[in-house]
Amino acid sequence: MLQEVGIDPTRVEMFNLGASDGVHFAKAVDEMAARVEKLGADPLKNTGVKPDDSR
Amino acid sequence: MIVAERKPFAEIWESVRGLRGLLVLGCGTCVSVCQSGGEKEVSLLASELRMKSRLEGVSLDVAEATVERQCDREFFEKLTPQAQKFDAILSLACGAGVQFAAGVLEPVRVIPALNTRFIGVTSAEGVWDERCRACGACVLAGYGGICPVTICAKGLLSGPCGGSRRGKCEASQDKDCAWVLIYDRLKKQGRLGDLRRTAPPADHSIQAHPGRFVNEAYVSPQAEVKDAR
Repeated sequence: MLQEVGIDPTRVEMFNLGASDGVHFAKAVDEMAARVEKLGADPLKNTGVKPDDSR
Repeated sequence: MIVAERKPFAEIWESVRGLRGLLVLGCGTCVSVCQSGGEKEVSLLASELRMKSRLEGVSLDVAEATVERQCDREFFEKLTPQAQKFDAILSLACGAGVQFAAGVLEPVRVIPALNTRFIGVTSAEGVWDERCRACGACVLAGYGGICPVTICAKGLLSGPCGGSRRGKCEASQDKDCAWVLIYDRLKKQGRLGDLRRTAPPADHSIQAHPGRFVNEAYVSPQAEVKDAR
C-alpha cells in the first residue's frame, strides 16, 4: 500500500517479539534506525500541506 | 454475494484529481465480506489518499463513512444532507451501489473505487469464486447444485464437450471441468440417470438488461418507483 502512494515500503516492518524480549527489541530498533537513516527523512513530513484529521 | 475488487490506486487517484473535498463511502454488506469495500478498507484508502495528496502537495480533505448497504434508500437518510458538502463521493460499493448512491445523492458526483467482478462465494480465506451469472433461469436442481451456465466455460447444458483432461477444462487448465463435477455430485446422490436428458435451448431473452423484478404483494399503490434514468 505504501508503494502505491510512492513511499518506500521498507520504512515499515512488523517484528514479532515477546514482552520480555529486550535483546531482540534493541536489535530491531537498531536495524530500523540504520535502515531509515539510509532512506532519508520521512517524505510526508514538512510537505507544506496541513494533514486532514477529519474522521 | 457480489464480489468486487479495489481498482488500482493510480486509477483512483486520477479519478479524484483536482477535487478539494472527498467522502470515502464504504458498504457494510457484500464488499465487506470480500474485504474490498468495508469500513476497514475505507480507512486504509482514506489514509492512502491523504498521504498521496501530501506527497503531491495538493490540498485534499478526506472524510470517511460506511453505511449498511448502498443499494437501499433507507441507509442514506442520515448521510444525504451531509453528502452535499463534498465535491464527490468515492464509493466502495459494487456497481449497483455506486449507481444507487449517485441517484439518491445527486447532484453530488459519485465515483467508483471498485471493479465489480461476479456473484460468488468464499472458497477459502482471501479466495472468492464465481458461482452464479444471474441468468434468470436457475437449473441447479437438475445438476446436483453445480451450475453448468457459470462453471462450464462453454455453458453447456446437455453434457460435456469431451475436451476435458484429468478433470480440468479444455479452455483453461486451472479450471475444473464443470461436467466432471456434476457427474461426481450426481453419482454421490445416486442420480446419474439425470444425465441422460437433453436440456431445451436456453431462453436468453430473460437476461434482457436492465432487468427488473417486481413482487406485487409488496408494492405500495402510493410508491413512486424511481428508475435509474
